[in-house]
Amino acid sequence: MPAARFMPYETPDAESVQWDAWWFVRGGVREALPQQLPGWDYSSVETIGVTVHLDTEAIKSATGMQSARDLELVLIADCAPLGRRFVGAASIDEEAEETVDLSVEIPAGEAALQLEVSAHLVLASPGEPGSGRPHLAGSRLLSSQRRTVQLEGEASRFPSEAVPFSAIGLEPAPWTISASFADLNDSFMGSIRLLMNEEHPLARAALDPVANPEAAERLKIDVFRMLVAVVAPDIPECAEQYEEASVGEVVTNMADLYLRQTLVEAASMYRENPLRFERLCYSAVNE
Amino acid sequence: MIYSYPRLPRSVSEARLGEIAAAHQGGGLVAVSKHAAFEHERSVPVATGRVATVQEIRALRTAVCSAMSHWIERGTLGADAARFDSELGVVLHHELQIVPSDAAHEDTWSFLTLMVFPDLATLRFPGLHKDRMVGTPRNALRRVWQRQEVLGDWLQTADAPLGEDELVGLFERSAMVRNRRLARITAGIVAAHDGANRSAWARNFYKAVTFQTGMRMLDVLDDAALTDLLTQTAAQVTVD
Repeated sequence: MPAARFMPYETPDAESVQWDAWWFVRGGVREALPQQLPGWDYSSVETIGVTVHLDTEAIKSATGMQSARDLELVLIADCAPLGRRFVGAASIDEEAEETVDLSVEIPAGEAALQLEVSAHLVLASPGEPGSGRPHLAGSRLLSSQRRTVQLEGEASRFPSEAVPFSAIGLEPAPWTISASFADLNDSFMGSIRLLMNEEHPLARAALDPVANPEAAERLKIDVFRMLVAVVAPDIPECAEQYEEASVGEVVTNMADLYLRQTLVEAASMYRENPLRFERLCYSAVNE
Repeated sequence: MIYSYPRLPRSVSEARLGEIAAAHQGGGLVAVSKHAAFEHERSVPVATGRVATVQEIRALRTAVCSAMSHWIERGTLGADAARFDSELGVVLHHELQIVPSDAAHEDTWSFLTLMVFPDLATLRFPGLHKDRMVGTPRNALRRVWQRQEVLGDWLQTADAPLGEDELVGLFERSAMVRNRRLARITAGIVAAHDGANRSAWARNFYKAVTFQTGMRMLDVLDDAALTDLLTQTAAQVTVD
């Protein structure tokens, strides 16, 4: 399924490009790209790709291009935790229907935690301006959905640490949140840690949610309440759009999930009617 | 790049920050320097990569502190914080020899900041705010290493290097900076701009560049085409 994006110029029908399933290569063998790349470490060199089927006649007709060689397929592997992106590209021939293997190589030691991969059909070289058709090199025509692949185990989980609170000078609560962010658009994974007190029986119980579902539920409520408490001072009066995987977006999603409220509404209730906030939290996780 | 470093989990980092703050309050930067250490019983081993030994970490501190000794002796940065950052970025990037994958981890920078170089971080940010001391992206060491990693030595050799506001404005646009070629050319155009109120102009320029990335995939442009596009974009930018 393609990603929707509106451009100020004519773009081909989404059906003119099919993005097949993503793959990666190990030992010369192509395998379906899993959620987490198995056995990845800092010495791994990875090739990730996608197979693309194009109806070049339909694309040329929609965009007014004379030749399919004016097009290019681009694969972006974006590593936000490391602040780097990797680019693979493939040119397109004049065949009416074409299948292209598009891939990118991720060098050893140059990526971390997770990659977000996406593929794009773009205009490769500038064309003649006019009549609402794309003419600038690099103009985006169609894009695939983004796909996230975990490289390291911790990347997909709620960031947490089990630690004896007595060793780090914290009061003997079962758990707490450590938050370090300057802006609600900062990365959630990089800003928030759940600290579980190994010395506390409730924390030990919550670490085994199958055997102790009530402790796990209590943990969920407390985590949500603590997160709202932490972000409440930074929430503006009106609703705001937050960046993907940011503190603001994650807590917004939790407010929607638990309270069916916006983050602005949840934070306002937390400040002005904390007892109702508490009741709604409990009723939400018990639903 | 060959080394990975031990990692200090957030929980331990916060406790360690409390110790550094107490030392700073009691005896200033000299007391903080005495708190420098090369291992921690609760540091976490790294499962991959060649982890630096205690001896190598000790040698690292010696090399970095030697190169930065003129700043440490001053004991305060005054208006020279940007120059300190720039020098520290070069020295750290050269001496750490850190595998970039390892440099993406908060706990790595927490270890380096709170264990190995607590005095350098305190010298730069004497308020000891958690953001600057724990290894989040605004960490005192991590951000200057990252700037050097992305912009390279050009950062120092430009006639009018980017100031703190200009660098912060650029690096806060993390999606833009991940295209490192785009970041370097953008920074070069800012450095070459000789109009009034360059920082305000740079903010508007960054917004205009970000706008360009919405409709166009700038990765497909070669250096010359990208430079042309950004130069034309810059020519249309004004100060508010």
